[in-house]
Amino acid sequence: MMQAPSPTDWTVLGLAPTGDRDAVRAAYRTRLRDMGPDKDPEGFQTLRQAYEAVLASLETDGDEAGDGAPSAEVIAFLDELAAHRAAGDAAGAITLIDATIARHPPGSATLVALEDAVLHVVAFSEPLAPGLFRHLADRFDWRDMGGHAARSDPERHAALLDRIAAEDWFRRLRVTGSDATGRVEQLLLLNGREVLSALSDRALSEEERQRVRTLFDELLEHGGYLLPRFDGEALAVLREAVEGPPLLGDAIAATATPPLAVAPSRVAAPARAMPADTGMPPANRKLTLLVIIVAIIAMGAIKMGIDHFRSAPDAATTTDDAPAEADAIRAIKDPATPWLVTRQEPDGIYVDWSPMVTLRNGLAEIRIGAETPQPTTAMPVPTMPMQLGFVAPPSLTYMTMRVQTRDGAWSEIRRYSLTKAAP
Amino acid sequence: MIVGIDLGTTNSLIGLWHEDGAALVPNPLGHLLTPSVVSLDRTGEVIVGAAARERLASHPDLTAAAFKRYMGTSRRIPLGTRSFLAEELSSFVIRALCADAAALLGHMVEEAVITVPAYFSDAQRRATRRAGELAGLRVERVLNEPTAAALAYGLADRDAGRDGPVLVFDLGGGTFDVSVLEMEDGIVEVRATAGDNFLGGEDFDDAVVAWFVDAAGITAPDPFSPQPDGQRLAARLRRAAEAARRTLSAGREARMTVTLPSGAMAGASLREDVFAGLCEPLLERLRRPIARALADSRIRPETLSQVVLAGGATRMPVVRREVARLFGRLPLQSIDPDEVVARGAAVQAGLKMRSAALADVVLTDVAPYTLGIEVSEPTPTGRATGRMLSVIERNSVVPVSRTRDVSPARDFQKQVGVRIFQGEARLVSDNILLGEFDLALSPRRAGEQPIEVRFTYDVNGILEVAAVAQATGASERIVIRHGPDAPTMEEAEERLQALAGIKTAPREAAANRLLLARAERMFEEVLGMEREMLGAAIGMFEAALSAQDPAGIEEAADHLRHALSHAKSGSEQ
Repeated sequence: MMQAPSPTDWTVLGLAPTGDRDAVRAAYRTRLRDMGPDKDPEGFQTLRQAYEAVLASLETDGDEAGDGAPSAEVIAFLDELAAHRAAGDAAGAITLIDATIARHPPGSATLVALEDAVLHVVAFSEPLAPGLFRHLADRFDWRDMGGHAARSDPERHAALLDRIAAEDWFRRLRVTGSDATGRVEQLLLLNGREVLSALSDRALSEEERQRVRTLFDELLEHGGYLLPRFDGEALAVLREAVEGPPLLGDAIAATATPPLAVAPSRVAAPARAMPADTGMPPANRKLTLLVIIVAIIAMGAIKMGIDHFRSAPDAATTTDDAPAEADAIRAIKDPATPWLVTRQEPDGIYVDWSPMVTLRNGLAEIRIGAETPQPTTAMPVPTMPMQLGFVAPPSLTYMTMRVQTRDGAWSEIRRYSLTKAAP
Repeated sequence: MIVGIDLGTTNSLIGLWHEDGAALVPNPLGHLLTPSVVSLDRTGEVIVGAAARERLASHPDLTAAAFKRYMGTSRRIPLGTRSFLAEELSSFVIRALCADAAALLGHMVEEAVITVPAYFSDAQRRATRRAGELAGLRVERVLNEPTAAALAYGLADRDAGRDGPVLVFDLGGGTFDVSVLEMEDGIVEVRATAGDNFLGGEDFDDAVVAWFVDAAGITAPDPFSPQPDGQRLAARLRRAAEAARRTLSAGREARMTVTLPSGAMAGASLREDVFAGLCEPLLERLRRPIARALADSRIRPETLSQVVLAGGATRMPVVRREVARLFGRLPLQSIDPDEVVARGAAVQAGLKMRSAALADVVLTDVAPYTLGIEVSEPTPTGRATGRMLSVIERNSVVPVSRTRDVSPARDFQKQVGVRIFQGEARLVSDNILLGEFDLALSPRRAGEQPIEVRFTYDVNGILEVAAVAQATGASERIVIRHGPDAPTMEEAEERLQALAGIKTAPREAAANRLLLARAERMFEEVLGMEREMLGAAIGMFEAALSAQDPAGIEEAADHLRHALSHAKSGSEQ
């Protein structure tokens, strides 16, 4: 935001351009005696602006980002924290954090280095206990929009705020779910079998359906961190109870020309009210999960922004290295460019759509198929850098994909096997 | 003559600037500290200070204390059949202080600098300003308390030739402030400020009261109950807690005894280590504002030249120990922490009067909060609404003017709503709404509809916001001087008239009023013989007062003092 100092800034300070911070400070102080905020408010603002512009240009990069390499204490702390986490000992981890923080003055170099290390190593690790995460956020004051974390690494901090919002949402969900009034919240936290039996006892009222839709929207908003905490079958059953039959790729008739880009949930609008139990074999249910994740994303993608403003473009996109349209189209059409990559993870094969994210500037539409040769399910085109992917359920053996590029051309159908990870 | 006023949660002070330095003005009882307590007597006259404080226990329904905590809210505090806003009660305190200054100066006081906690919000600052105006003053400046404390120290340091970054740790009766400043050759630069508006000495009393209620096995009184018994007990508990806290400053154990409404006595002994345990959750909360202020100022605690204490609550050994532990060094307390803010306010008054002795002193202060507008932002899954876009970041040096460019969320919007917030959270719902207005647009595509939003913030914390549609030049602006719950002009005028009709007790009677109030409070607490004796002495004193015979009053006062000391020794056994 700060601009490079102009020649006028130096004139205002009454100084020839210099790299000497002390000289700049001294010049500012001298001018301050005649242009103080009480004596000359207008003049003071000009002086201050010049001073800040000059100071910012002299700022060394290392100023905020801790003081060099992590110290032995920071490394020891991270090791010990990792040990507590590996042992599942959240209480021990919290004690360690508190004791370490208490040993140093607030704002001290060691604590800043510690915070930076935690921010980079721990804050985004997936299996972090929610209580431990909240404690870290609290002790390091991460909710603060203008604090050290936000200054030293704005993008990381923005992601951190997303995770905090997600954890807050999840906590509220659990609190409401433990309450007699929170039936829908409670259902969301059960497993599929329990949801089925709860729904066969009493179907959802219209109000409750609406609540499910709202919660799904919110779940989507906080997605990434939270989805693994929910039972996929439970989500599937609930979704069916609200929106009708699942969006299996093969539920939609394959057509020669791809369908219009309509929200998938609307395409699959039920002809009749769906019973809670669809009689689907369990294997298919697992499959449904995948489609649900996609459908949830799709539902969110068409949600309209309802507010008046959006931030200035410079605030929204900071670093974006996605290729421009023509290059992206060329890459998409190149058979050597993969549209998705798979890799073996502890839970199964991870399907990573990062190529689609990178090449998004060339994409008009995406169609996917799960366990079907005809990819007919619409998937939203990513609009900005994001993590997009999922762990494939064991029952899913292959996926198909077809895309439309921005020049209007539809691609061939590509088939990706999910039985073992492709290098 | 401009005076400097420290309007505190627990005590208030008034100071003056002479060419040779700042001086504080004593009240009619000879004290520099006037308790920020207001009471109405039988005739509807306002009593302020020590006498009113005694009446907290004897006439709780007619007395109010610690009302600074409700500054800037629409909460009405009942006194008998009337009710007052916090700013109105504060205006009584200011009136009493100004009367003391006028008695010393021999003429009326018309202008003042009033201090506020640095972390006071916009609405709280405006209410403080109104309190001064209701007392008939022109408020020249609303000054941050830790800045005032630093000014007082800065002056001493200028004279002693000491320089460098200083952290002011200001724990008052109701609020906690931290400011990091740089001082050099009389130039006092506030680098950053942070705080907690709900942390102060009163909270330590609350903790002790809660402990006592539990330890003595009594039922907690409801301070808001309409029953005077409950209010009386609540006041007695607070008093006992305060006394215990003071005892523990020197001793290892404090015995607390409280007379219950039933007449029975409840007692418990508070050990130092138990008290330390009670304080821990409160002390814990000191850390975050310090970390914020230091991080924002980009000054490492290791490089601070001094840590300075201000605020009465920093007298507590637990607090001083905690400060020493937090910074690994002993804090400086060469100026009385109760007086340092008022002294600084007097220095600022001197600056305002362009005192020659202060010709080379310049003060720059900062905006304590981030100020911004509500926007929506694109996210991977759509748009996030209700986000805060900061326009003036906290700890920007004031006065300051900043702009941000925004555009409508959708194409062809006919207008946009500009909602202005203060606070540090990403979601505006967690921040405080200051005001809003609509800007009419001639519809265009969002990308071709740039809007410039400009915030201008002055030294007194008055914010002006303007939005301009760049395409057509259409603009709207708003000056945030009055919050959403501020009274309208007519209401304000009406309240002013109502307050003008309320008489303040004469200064000369202060000592006698205090004696009477103290006796009445003690009367409630003792039983049997002592109560009878005290009652009789009170009756004689009141009769002498109404007879207005100076010799008779003096004699009755002596008698009452005697009865009082007798009763006191009885109740403490």
